Amino acid sequence: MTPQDIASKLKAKFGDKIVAETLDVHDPFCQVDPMSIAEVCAFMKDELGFNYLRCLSGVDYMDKKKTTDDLGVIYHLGAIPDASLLFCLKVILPRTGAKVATVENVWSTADWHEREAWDMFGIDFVGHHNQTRILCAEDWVGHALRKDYKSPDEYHGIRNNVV
Amino acid sequence: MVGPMSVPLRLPRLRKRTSPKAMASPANIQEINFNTDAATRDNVLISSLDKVLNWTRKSSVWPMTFGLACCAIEMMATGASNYDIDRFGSGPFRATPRQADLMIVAGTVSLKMAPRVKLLWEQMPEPKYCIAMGACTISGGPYIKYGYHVLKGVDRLIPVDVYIPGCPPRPEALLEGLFRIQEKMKYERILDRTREGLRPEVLVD
Amino acid sequence: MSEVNQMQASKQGDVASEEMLLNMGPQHPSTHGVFRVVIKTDGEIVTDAESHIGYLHRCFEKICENVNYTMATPYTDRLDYLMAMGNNLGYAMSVERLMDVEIPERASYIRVIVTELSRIASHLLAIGTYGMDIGAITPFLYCFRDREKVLTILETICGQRLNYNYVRIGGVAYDMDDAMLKMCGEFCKYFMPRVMEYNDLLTYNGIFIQRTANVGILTAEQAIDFGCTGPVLRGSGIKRDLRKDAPYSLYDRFDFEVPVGAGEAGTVGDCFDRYMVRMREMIESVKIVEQALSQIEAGPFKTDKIKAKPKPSKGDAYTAVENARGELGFYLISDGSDTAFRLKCRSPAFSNVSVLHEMCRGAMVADVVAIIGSLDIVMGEIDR
Repeated sequence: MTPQDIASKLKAKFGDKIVAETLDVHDPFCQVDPMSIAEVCAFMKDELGFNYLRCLSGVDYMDKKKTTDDLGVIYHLGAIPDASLLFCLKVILPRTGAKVATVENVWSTADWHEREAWDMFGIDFVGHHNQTRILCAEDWVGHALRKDYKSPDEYHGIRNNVV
Repeated sequence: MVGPMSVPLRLPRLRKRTSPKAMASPANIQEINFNTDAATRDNVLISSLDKVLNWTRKSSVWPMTFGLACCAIEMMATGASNYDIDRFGSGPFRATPRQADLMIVAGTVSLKMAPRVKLLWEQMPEPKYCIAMGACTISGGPYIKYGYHVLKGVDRLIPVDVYIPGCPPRPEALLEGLFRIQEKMKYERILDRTREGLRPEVLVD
Repeated sequence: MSEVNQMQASKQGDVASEEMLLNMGPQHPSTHGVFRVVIKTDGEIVTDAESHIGYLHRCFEKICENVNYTMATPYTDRLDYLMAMGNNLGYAMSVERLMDVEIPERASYIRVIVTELSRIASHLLAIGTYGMDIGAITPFLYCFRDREKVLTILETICGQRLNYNYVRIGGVAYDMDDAMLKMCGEFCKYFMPRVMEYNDLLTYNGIFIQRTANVGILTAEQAIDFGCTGPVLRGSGIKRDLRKDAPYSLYDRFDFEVPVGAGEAGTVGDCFDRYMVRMREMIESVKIVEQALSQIEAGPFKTDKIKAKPKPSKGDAYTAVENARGELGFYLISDGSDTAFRLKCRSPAFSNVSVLHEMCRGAMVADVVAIIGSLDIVMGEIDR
């Protein structure tokens, strides 16, 4: 199944929920509407055989000139044991009130990956059963991988930044 | 702690073989004169209590099994067959801080881990020693500039006796650090429990 | 009251039995680092387990957004510090993929040799500490004896014992001369009979089999669902190895097997199977090193097309390699400058350990240690 086939199948099934498609890059991808990502993923898993979520990454697209300040979530899908079946889904979210549907019911591995994206970027995964911080301490303030994050000077009385 | 030269000791003459029965008999308990009796001079050692205690202490340093990151692997290598820390009386890695008297902080201390490290240190009985192993525990190491979640040196948290640089330090370096700790133990004073003069030295540079 | 009566009484509610929470870690000798599990027990049976990670969160991804590509390589060493060569390789390949450069053949061969030696060292540590977790201390000492031999070779090649920073973007840092290649060959000859020794020491030990067989069974469906890879997935009987299925570097030139769990001592997917997969993988790694040594030819050890500060073209790519623990992926977004815009590391142990609560459910408390050990976790890459 070529990326072209997958994209056209997704288009036929979901119509305008597939916002855009880009196929002539290293990892061909479709951009999906944030709240319908769960059904798209369920379709990918059940009908197209993507039974394995390789990677789920949060991204902060804010560059130095601040031309954009969107957040994003990238889903790299694969299949086991068929290693040639690869595709990628992307979701673009506004910076304030970033909300995307959870896919932890599709692949259980998304549970921790989504918690990490919440911890690092503050992306709210609607419907996640336990959306708590996973890497930083429970009482950590802020989302560390956002480009405008400033690390705290003190944590529980421990001086953190080098003077 | 040198006592009077003539003390009563429950000590048989050791050079002459005596039967166990004879050794136990009250006739053998006698006053020994340290100055004159050649047998006693060969067999009785006089030392200060501090020296004896420090000697025993330094010959059985019990570190705590407390690995944090990459340095912990080198700490394991130090304990394993090639480097064999047992040779220097420091073999038994204890799983609980209550039985340990040396804490080797091996690896990066994150801010999430920092309160636990402090708690573990406080659970250890005095006298206790601390080795900061590796660049991360000394200053934050490679994570010093952008590591928002990394403690920039474990000495911001607990007192450190010996700093061992390296990323990670070789097992030989850890052994050298242990020797420095043992060297330090030699000068402990039993009556001076504050040990304040001993703390802030940097021995390995 | 006899035991049967007592059991009946507790069923009827006469004797109150309540669940107990048992806290394991973050400082625990068997968690291989700073990993915390809260175990809910009913007597001796584990009813639920919850993993807490992040005690070694070292901000890898943030640092990579701030330092240039070459400077980020040493940080990848410290992700999976047991197989640092594999991390270097994965990172270097992800940058090279965006730059579209060809790597000289000799460099690729050297990469394969050092990566496979590193894999042997990693598995040796996994097996040794696994024995120690369960109570067999002797295999640990034997494994470290041979691990030191690998480390000596790697140290001769690149000057470090653990965090090598050897596989660089565009090739490797230094060339391997003939004496070093000879050392590798001698190690291969030395190591093969040693595997038999480990088998005698540990694999066929009755107590070891009893502690690991039928313990912590992970079904193939669960393993895929939770994104497990590497020996954990292969232990569940699924033949998946990126070196074979999606060959990168030069792995399509070598002849080797992909061992999978077959339930030799108990059920497919138990702790013993995962252990056996690691054991057999070491032999396969030796085979690969031997073949690479016979094929390697003189040539440049790095490409001259890459400058000191590489600048990949704008774009993004996800590149995965097979590490000792499974699929190690780097998702790299480049904005055309000399610093990564975003580098996400998909670490295999992160996904592998997320299945822990499923495996612990219904096991005995003492088996939790056996299960964690069989996953072979490295906290450096879980917490990053």
